[in-house]
Amino acid sequence: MSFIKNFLTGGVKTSEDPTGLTQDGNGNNNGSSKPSDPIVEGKFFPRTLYKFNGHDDEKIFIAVKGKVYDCSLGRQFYGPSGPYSNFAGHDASRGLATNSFDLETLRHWDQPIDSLDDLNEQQLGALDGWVSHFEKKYPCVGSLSAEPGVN
Amino acid sequence: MLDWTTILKYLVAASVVVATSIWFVNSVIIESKRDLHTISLNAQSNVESVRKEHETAIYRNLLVPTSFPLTTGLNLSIGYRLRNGNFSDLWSAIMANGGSTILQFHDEETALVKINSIAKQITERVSSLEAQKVGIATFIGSSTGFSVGVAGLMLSLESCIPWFLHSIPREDLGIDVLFINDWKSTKYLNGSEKWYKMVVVCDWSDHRSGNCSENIISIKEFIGQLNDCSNFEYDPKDSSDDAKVLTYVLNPFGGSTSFTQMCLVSSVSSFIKSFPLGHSLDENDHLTISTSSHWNHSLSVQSWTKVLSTLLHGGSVSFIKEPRSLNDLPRKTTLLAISGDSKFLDHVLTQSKGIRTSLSKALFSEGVFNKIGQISNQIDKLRCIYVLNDLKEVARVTDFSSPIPELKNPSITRYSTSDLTLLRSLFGSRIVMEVYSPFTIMGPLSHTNYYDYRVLPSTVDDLVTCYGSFTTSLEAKLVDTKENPKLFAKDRQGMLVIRGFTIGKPVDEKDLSHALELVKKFNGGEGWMPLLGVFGLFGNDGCFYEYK
Repeated sequence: MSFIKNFLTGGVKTSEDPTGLTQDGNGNNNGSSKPSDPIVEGKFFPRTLYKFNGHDDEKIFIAVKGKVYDCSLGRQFYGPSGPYSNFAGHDASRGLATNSFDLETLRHWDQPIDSLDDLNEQQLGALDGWVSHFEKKYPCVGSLSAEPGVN
Repeated sequence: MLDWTTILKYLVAASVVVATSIWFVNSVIIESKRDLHTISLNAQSNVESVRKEHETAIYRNLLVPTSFPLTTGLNLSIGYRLRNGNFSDLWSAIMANGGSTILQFHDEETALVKINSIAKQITERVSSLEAQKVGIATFIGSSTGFSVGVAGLMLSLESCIPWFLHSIPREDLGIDVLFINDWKSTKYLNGSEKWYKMVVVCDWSDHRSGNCSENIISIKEFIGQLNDCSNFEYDPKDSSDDAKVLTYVLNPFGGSTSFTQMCLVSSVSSFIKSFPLGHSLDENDHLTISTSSHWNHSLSVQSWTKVLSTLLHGGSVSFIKEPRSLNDLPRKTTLLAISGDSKFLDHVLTQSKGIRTSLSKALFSEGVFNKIGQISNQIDKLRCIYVLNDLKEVARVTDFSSPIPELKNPSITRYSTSDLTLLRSLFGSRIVMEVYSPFTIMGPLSHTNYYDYRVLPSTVDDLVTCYGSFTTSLEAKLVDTKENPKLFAKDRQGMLVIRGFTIGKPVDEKDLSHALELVKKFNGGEGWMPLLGVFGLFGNDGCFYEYK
């Protein structure tokens, strides 16, 4: 009806306000955060990282050597039912260094962060290779540190 | 006599037919004729999934996803490697197909071959003088001014820097050869001719006055006899030419900006990419540039992107004065670049064709392109109008040293989306709004989508101007400033900060250090350049909206 009415009255169809400057706008300028809003770069604890496993939260974050990467674009690898889904929401350093996808390579959120002290030179080299791969491919969203009183 | 039941039946039947027709028009015809679906219009940029505190996420053109590089040049090959290219690559490709191309400068037609010949002879003559810098104080929209401009850009690869000037310099800039408009301009030299090896008057007639200094000569004397030359050959030795300086541009605020070859080729490449599939530039395109006098000097930087892109595709170009009516536009115009302060557009807005305009506007606002409301067949070939707008704070952006201002109430006038819809229907053409920082960035910062015909609520139009998404050579974000505590980056509002390959840098050491100091404040080292006083917001459609 709107088109006919506009044609007859000389009006135009006004689109929704994309800026949120008006009260009827949907520009989300009221400070509330939508799930698709960008995440603020920051500090993660194993506990806060865990929820970004592609299942509890749509986004997939993986920690490698102290840095947290947003791997949501690699959902086919790291998302639920992907070959590396174990890594999502975890510190994957040991698994990547040892080329193992086993659950044993991962620490639970309430365990101390893996210091990787026992890795040999070859494994550390492999891990550095993975770090540069992640740096090139995925945005870094923060760093992983131990939560006081938990890890 | 019909009884009540029959009348009721007819009424119901008529209502059903009307309702079905309306549904059919709204849901089937309009839906299928739309140029771009609402979903696409609501997602016009790639937005990074992460942002820093006190900053918005980084916004990019939809054609350059987050993990892909920005457009950096022409992607030409040198052996098995890729290189970005430079002005000479563009000009040699233009001349390879431009044997019959004619350019129009106001009422004068000039063959591209003649421009090439003049430019090459100027180049040879300047090189013979071993000039390091040439000053160009001529209007680029004239035949000779354009030829001198081309010559200057040709020289840029031969260790000579062309310096585009808005007037005859008042101080010695170390320029060896100065080109000026006409003999009348010589009086503004005021004894400064001794700073130059040669002052060349771009006037083919010899109206030299008796007391003229000997180093002031006409262009005719400077280049000697003109020999037609239809080719321009360039053989790249390596891929580093893109880092060479293309030009310096003196701005009206006292400083100068240096642009590299990379700025030009990236800008050209971005412009070519901005055309959607099926609407690419081709040999039938004719670009007409018509700007107000306010833009005369900016054209010496900003006209090259569109002009070279059009010529590269075998098209032709006209420079015209501000038209007074549609008859002043060349009939073959397919692309029109016109400044946003043009009186001509205001004049066209007063023309209306009643019901035809009404239907056309209604269709445009639904996203359907049409020529129903076109006011003259003089502009039948016109397919896109580029409305060139300055940023609100050009002086501050160019200067770098001013403090960050507070955002005040709307203080500039720009066409509203409703006006643009009316213009679209009257011209029967697409309209793209572009925003420029004329002396610091080559080409536009951002532009609206070719297919974006949306009409925004008037309350939004009163506060902001929609400039679409950024060019493929730039990426941008908005940052919090303490001067404007009401603009929150978390709400996608703030001061504009950009990064990319079309940005120039100040020539003067003092200006450069101001710029570097400023850059340091905004994550120095990552290449972000703040645009002082440019406040805006990102809509949830991914478009950049500048506060008026």
